[in-house]
Parts: sequence; C-alpha cells; structure tokens
Amino acid sequence: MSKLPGGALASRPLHFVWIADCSGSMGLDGKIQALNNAIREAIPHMQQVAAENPNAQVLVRAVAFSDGARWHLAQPTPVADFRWQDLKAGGVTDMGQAMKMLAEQLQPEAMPARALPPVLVLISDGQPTDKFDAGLQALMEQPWGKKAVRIAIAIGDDADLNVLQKFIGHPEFKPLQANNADTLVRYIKWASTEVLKSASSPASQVLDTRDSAVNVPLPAAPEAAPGPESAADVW
Amino acid sequence: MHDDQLLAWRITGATVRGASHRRSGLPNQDALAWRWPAASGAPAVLAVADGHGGPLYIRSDRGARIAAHTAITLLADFAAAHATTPALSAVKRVAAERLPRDLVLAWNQGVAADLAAEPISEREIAAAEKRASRAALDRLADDPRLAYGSTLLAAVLTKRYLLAAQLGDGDILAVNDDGTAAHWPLAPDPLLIANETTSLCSPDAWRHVRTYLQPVHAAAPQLVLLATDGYANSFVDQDGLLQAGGDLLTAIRDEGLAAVSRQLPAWLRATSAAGSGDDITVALAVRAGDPQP
Repeated sequence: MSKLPGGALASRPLHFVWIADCSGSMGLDGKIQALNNAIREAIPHMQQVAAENPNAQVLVRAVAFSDGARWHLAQPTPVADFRWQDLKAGGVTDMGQAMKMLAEQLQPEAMPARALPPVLVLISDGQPTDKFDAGLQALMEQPWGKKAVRIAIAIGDDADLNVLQKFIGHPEFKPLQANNADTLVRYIKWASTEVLKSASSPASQVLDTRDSAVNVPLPAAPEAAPGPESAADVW
Repeated sequence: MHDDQLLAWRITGATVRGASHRRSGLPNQDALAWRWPAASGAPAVLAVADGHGGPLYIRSDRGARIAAHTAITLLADFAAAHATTPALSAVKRVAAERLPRDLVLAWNQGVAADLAAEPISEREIAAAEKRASRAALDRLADDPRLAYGSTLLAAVLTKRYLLAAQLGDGDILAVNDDGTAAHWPLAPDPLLIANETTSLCSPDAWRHVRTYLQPVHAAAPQLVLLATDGYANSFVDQDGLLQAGGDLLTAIRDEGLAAVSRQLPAWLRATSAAGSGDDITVALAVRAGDPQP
C-alpha cells in the first residue's frame, strides 16, 4: 500500500480569540496602545509555541467591543499569518454583545468535533454597559463555550473583577490585574504562549459537566512587573 | 464456503506512541489486547483502551493495559458462558445489564491489585505537581484510582453474534464486503469533545458503558475495527476514518494480513505525526473467509 489508509490528514484546529475592550476609557493613559503593543510583541512568541507543536493548528481571531461588538479579525487566521492591526478606543462597554458574537462562532456547526479546546482571552478596563449576563449565558450554552479555556485580564483598578470572574467561571482562577504596561505585556505573553501550549496538548481527561470544570491544566500566571518609576505610568 | 470458515476471524493490531507524546516525553498511554483460538477462529476477542493524558492520570498507561486485558478475559468468559444459551435475546439482555458492571468491576479490581502491589509514590506525586493543580492532586489523594483513568472499546465475535462494548471516546467500525464502513452502531457521543471523555474511573462508570449485540448472518461485516480517538482525530473529517476502514480491508485482501500487520505500526506513526499527535491504537478483526496470501 503506497499511501496511508484513510482520508486526508490534518492537525487539530485550536481557535484562539482575543476579546478586547475598546471603550472610551481605554483611550486614557495609553491603555489601548499598550494593549496593541503587548499583542504585537507576543506574536513571535505565539508563533514559536505553535511551531513547536505541529499537531495543533492555531487559528487566531479578535473581537472588539465598545458601542456594540465587531470582529476585528473575523477570519480564523493561521498564527503564522497573524498580524495585529491597531485597535482604537471610543464608546461604551458592550461586553455582553461580544459574548453573543463568540457564542455564534462556537456553535457545533462551526466547530469540528476534533477541535482542541478554544482559548478565549478577555481584556477589559471597565464595567459592561449592556446585558453581560445574557451574553455570557449564550456563550456557556454552547458546548465549546463551556469547554473553552477562559482567561481574563483586568486593566487598571476600574475593571469589574466580578464580571471577569464570572467569565472565567472557576473559583480557583482569578482575573489577572495589570496596572501598568509592563505587566500587561507579561500577561498577554503568558496567555499567548503558556496557555496556548497547554491547550495544544491532546491530553484527555474525564468528562466534567460542571460549568466550572477545567479541561486544560492552566500553568501558573506570571508575577506582576515591578512598579513603574513614574506614578503617571500606573493605570 | 463452510459456515465455520465464514464465521471465523483473524485478528491483528498495533499501538503506537503519539508524535506529541514523543516530544513531551510521555509514554504510550494506549493499550491493545486480543485473543482468538487459531484452530476455530472464534470466538475472537479484541480490545483497545486509551489512558487519559491529563496531569492527574499519572498511571493511565497501566490503567489502559488493565482495561484491555481484563476486557478480553471477561468477554471470552462471557462467550463461553453463553455458548449454548438458546435465545440471543437473552444473551443480549445479559450483555446490556451485566456486562457494563462486570467490566468496570474487573477494572477496579485490577487497579486495586496494582495499587496494593505498588502504592503511588511521593516521587510520582512530585512529578504530577509540575502539571496538576492543587485541587486535582487533592482529588487524587482521595481516590488513587483516578491515576489509572482510561477508556475501553472491546468486542467479542462469535459464530452466533457480534458483541461490542464501549466506554468513552474512540471508534468501532464495521466494514462491509464492498469496502463501505460505518460506526457499528455505537456512534460517537457528541458530548465527548475538547479532550473530555467518560472513563472507567468516572463515578458510576458502568452507566456510561454502551453495548451492542448483532446476530451473525452472511451479511455480517468483513472487518471490525476498534480504534482509540487519536486515529479519528487525525483525519480532516469522519469520512476519512471510514475510508481507513475500507482501505485496510483492501490492503488485507491485496497484501495479506501478515503484511498489513507488519506495516500497521508505521502507518499509525505517520498518521499521528501528520494528524492528531496523539497515541493511536487500532485492532482489526477480519473474516477468515477472505484470501490470505
């Protein structure tokens, strides 16, 4: 037999989604630019992690929310081709709408059964201005939403930690608090490398039907960066 | 062709360490076992098992071996015990009502014996601490059986019936004479996604065991294939797996079972490398009426 038995082979898709707050407050103190820089800086590290595990096909997307929500990067993009276009701040914080948009894309019809658990990284500096709980419920009603690895990063002291904790949905894991640009870089890099590496493994485990179940072992998050020299650099 | 020959089976299989397991230093956590009397070709018994790769399941390679080996013993005993039971409906009822409990009980007994012979060591716990959360380790301390978590797929093919049992993910295919294949008939469970599966170490695991009994007749499948989920997850879609069933039957017919047996490990390694990266285990039972060069 000259060819392998069976149909076409492929690595397993792993959807990685940035969910970024672009409300007006993100325009203050350089937060939105710090986020743009942090994601851009993480890309080569993310690409390296993906290259080290050729059995996972990492596909990146991004949702931005402010007045409503929109796909900032709509097409699931192979990480090798992933480039970051700057987000701009302005508007309110319609986080619930972003959850609903995610839920639509995580329907079973849109996700092959062989996919690895998606990774969803929510970054926000404020409080939702729309019906967040309804949006989160829509997300958690999707099997892939429930099984997703959900990470939350709070930017500054005004972020609603309760909301971010609800998004994570597990008491053992807390939102990461970034109070300056250097810490944000650390957390973004951690999510896009260490968490990605963990989610890329085909390691199976026993089905847990609880919403708070963790189906990917999360690596320890990094410490916050040392405080900035100038108080003006603290969010 | 004499009925006995028509209903006799030959078995082969292979289990290979996944490409990602090689990269990360994990062992092959799958297992494979089979048994069949060469003289009569029936009953043939085959089993595959997939030990969980999550950080809690530090002895899942052992758990999978215990699962596969206890299953073939149990199914062979089951076939012997019911060799003269006149009504297949009675055999089917016992299979549905008793077999799930017996399979899980036998696995638990095997695990208990292994733990008694070699309790989980501090060194194993220390190694697990690098990957597992504190909460997971606490659960393991409460119930060391979890370390052995595994799926199980098994079948016994007698001259009167074909009986399959499945707990957790993986695939059982029946391949017809024309090479078409279908899940037989324990279709994949849609709840088992994102690397999660029901398991022998689940609470009330026997409730998750699905059984299927099919009377043997001339249109019985030519090939029965059991595979751990690393195989299906390597193909772009389910059709790719079904095609594998047909391709393997063709290969056995064209090249013979011995040649396929020799090549199967290399095929599975290449499939894992270009596909899921997971361990892959495949057991094949082919009707002995097929040519054997």
